[in-house]
Amino acid sequence: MKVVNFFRSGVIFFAAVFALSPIIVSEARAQIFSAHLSQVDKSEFPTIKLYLDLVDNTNRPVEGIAKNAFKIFEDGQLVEVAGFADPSTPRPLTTVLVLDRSGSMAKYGKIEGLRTAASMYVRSMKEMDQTSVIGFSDSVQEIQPLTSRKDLLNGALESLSAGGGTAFYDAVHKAIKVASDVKGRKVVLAITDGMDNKSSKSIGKPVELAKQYGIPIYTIGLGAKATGTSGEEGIYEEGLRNLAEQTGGLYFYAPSAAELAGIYEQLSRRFQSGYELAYITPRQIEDGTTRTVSVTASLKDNSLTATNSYYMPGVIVPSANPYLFVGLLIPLLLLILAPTALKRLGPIHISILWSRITGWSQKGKTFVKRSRESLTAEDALYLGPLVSGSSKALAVKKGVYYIGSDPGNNLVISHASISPKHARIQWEKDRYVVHDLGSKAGTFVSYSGDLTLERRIDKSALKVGSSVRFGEIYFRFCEKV
Amino acid sequence: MSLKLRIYYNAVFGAIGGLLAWYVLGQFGATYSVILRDIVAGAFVGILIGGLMGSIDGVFDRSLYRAGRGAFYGAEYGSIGGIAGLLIGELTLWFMGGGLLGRATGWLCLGLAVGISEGIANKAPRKASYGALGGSLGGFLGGAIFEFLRGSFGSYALSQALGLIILGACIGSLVGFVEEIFRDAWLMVISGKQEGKEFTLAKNVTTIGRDEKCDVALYHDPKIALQHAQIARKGGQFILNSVSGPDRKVSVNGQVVSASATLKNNDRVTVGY
Repeated sequence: MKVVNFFRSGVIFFAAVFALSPIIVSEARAQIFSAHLSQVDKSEFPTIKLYLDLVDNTNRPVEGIAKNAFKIFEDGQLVEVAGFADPSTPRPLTTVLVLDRSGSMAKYGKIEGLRTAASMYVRSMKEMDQTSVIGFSDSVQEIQPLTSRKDLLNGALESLSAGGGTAFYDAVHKAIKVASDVKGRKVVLAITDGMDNKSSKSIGKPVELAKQYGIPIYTIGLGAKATGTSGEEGIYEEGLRNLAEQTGGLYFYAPSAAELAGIYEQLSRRFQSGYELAYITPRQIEDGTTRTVSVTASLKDNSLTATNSYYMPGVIVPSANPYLFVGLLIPLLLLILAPTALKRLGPIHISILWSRITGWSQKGKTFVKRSRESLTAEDALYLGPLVSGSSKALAVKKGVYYIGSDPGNNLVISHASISPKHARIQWEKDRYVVHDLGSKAGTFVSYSGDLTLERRIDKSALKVGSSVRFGEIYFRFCEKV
Repeated sequence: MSLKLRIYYNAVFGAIGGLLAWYVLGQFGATYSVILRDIVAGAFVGILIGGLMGSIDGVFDRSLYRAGRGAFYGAEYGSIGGIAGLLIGELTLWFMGGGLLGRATGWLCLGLAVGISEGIANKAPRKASYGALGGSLGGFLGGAIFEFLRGSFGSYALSQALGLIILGACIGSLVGFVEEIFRDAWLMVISGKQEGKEFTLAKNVTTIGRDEKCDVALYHDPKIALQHAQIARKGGQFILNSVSGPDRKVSVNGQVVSASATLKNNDRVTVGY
């Protein structure tokens, strides 16, 4: 899990740095604009809604850009702009204000400054907007659930008092849950003046949840900065920046409470004057992929691009194609029959079949090319001598062969232990089988060839390498004498 | 059936299970919720791969009872494993945000769970660990191939079908292959109807008999009793216990076993003579 987490954070971090940094273009009259794709709303999949902020160098929203100035790309593929609403179109905004009320907020008029700034934000809300207030110190409290009533929100802000530690990540996590089910544009706006020291969750949890629901987290760091050593007072800027950049939000720094009002006002304007764009994704199946969305806005002779991404689950993707099914099933069914079919070709196994086809055979560990003439001779198997001294051998092809001391046998062995009609070897359907013909001294076989496993038989199958003993005379069933 | 041939058939049957799962799943379409889709997909993948692999022994021994029983257990445990594995895999893929490694890891969860289930279906705890390793490798490979083909050709049908075929083939062959690597004891039939067939001694007590329910089921030989003998694993040793009765003679290397005998490598056990 650790490794995965690390890998993921790395990928997200680079993707975020690469994708979410607004591309800044200077215009002819030195006017600087930036575009920021803050939210990708996939709740109406396959329709994807995008919330795009265009601001100038003073962070003022740029309005009045027409629909045809925008181009949307999903994974590099141009898609049609199916829906468009410019900043003048009224539409609801959902905000979750996450407010630090830890002990350190009591100093330097910070809590008062925050209260003022937050109530300015509440004042600028439109009728259809809704806001929730979450406070945190040692623990997280939802002081005011989502509401459009400004009196309730102001009352919640009045009740803020400082005291305790900093459970910042837990509070942000809670804020995302509050906003998760709401449709339309939504933001989490979180402020802290210190390092997280009380959360049960690491920074990764709120980031994952925010990405899942496509909710951007805007973070504000207030007051002194810490260098990252634990136990130190002050904000951990890198964490706040990561939280914002990985989720499509932005990070702001306020050296003192006096700057807060400006930041909250600016953000309120920004949230209320974004462009809303919609398109229908060309990949309408949930297929377990992250899709990159970029929007290009052409402004006079410059163009701005902003990028974000969304993830659709689906570890297995159902798909149907009957021809493909039959086309794949037939070869698989043939594979079931293949070993039996190969066996029917003879007891000689695949290696010999291979050597018949190619002319190559294996001798020990090396492959030897055989001449064309010897190929036909080797079609037969042999009942060859196992121990030196007995020099008899019998070439066996698909047929019936008799072994005994009588001269009429195919293999005549004159020995006291051999009966006149001792045994018979014959091809039976798919293998060679040796039958004892009621001999006195018996016929013994080790199928595997291991002589310690040899046993007396009435009838036994033979394979290449099997040992066969008639009375006291040993043979090996082999490919070549 | 030797273990090598067994590995081959495992792979082919697993592959067919994967292909059938893909086809059946495709009939449901893709437009309903992902969670429901995962439950349906996990169940079919588990049922079809598990069921087909479970039926192999019975199919080749021409025992309908054994094929049916194997298929049922394979499907039952496979479906539970498939659903659990796919839901965990879905979370993993989401956590990793997609991608080749994400997909492969997501499928690994599916393969792992189905592989473990195959071991449990065999009521052999040792096989569960073979299954886990085989299933993980198969899932990882199948998922990687799916994502690679999906990314390269943009087709869900071909990539998904091949991915599931490979998942099934890998689970099947690797369960068998890992079994061959890790198995420490097995019986091979030297003579009789099933000549050449190998039985891994994976359980604590392996039963031998003519009954289809036996682990070493030697059919069609009337000289073998329904429950003929058993082999118990005790601290690395394998002890052959005869089941008393006049029709249940057992011998080891020609010596009749009256009560029990500890087996050594290459011992020849004879039943039904």
